[in-house]
Amino acid sequence: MTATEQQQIFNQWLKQFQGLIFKVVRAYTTEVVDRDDLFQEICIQLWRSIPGFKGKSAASTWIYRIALRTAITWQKKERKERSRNEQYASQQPILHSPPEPDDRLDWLFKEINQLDQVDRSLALLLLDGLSYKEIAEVMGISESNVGVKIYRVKQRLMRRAKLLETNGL
Amino acid sequence: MDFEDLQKVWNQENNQPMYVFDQEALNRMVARRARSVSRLAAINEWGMITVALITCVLLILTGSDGAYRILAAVVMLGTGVYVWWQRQQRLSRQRTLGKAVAQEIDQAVANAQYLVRFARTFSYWFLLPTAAVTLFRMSRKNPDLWQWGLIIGCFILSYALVQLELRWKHLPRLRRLEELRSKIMS
Repeated sequence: MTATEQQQIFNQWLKQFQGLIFKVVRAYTTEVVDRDDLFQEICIQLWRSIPGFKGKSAASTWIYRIALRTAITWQKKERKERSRNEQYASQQPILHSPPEPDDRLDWLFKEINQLDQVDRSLALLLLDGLSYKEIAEVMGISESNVGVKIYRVKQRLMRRAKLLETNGL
Repeated sequence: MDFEDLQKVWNQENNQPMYVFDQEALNRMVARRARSVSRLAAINEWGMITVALITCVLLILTGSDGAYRILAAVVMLGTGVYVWWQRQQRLSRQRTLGKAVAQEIDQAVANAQYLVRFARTFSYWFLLPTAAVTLFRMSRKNPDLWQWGLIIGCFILSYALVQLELRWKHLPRLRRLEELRSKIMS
């Protein structure tokens, strides 16, 4: 694969699936500087993964895998080390927040942020409407295991939503 | 509010951009990092392999102390082979980037276990034999006390650094990954 072809696929994926990447980034970070860093890290991994993509699974499944595994194993510490090594600190951020955030969406992301790393992935995939089979494929676990975990995540989110309503927020 | 309502809130995001990003800056960053990281890794690996092999050949062809020379040459050759093997591992990881999350974590756990094992046994297969040979050679030349102190100090420092790295870097990482694996599998 030539560098131009790789670049074309990368741009196409980014255009088509940027929403998916943004969701993962937002679910796994709280600080603006971390968001930018994780976004860059996912993009780098995505770029590197392109020659290995043979089209056996859907591009969205592939991108979810790359994005989630990068987010799960990503640490703030790595950013600090890299910024020392590569002088990222002096560079402008690539990712910018939108001018008008949605309060309810903010609340939902805050709740997702409070889940553990694995449950965060499941919550994202569940809310995005993936089937148990697709979630199992992305996560690499059995469908029955997905079912058990999803039930737990769903219950927690519902409990928190009810609490929000009870408090009249 | 039921789960379908949560999903409606979630789906709003699909219709509006969550972030704005500079595509050109991103492309530049990706190209630069992808290039620099792989180039740097390749230079490091081939540099170490070349130095190890040249040193190995020089040790075999020159020098006077037979036992030390052969041991040092074997260690150098081993270092070169080890770096080459690490390179193959790195390239193989790159080829299998699209694995599922659980398999990726399994792979990360295996790598972390390897590094822990390597750091734990480093003293036995490298530091002790090297120290034994070096100290034996020194003893035949009647060095000063400070020279003994310096050499022994260097070996102690190497041991301490490896142990510190093990304690502060490899073991915490392994624990974190194992915890992650047990979460995903439970």
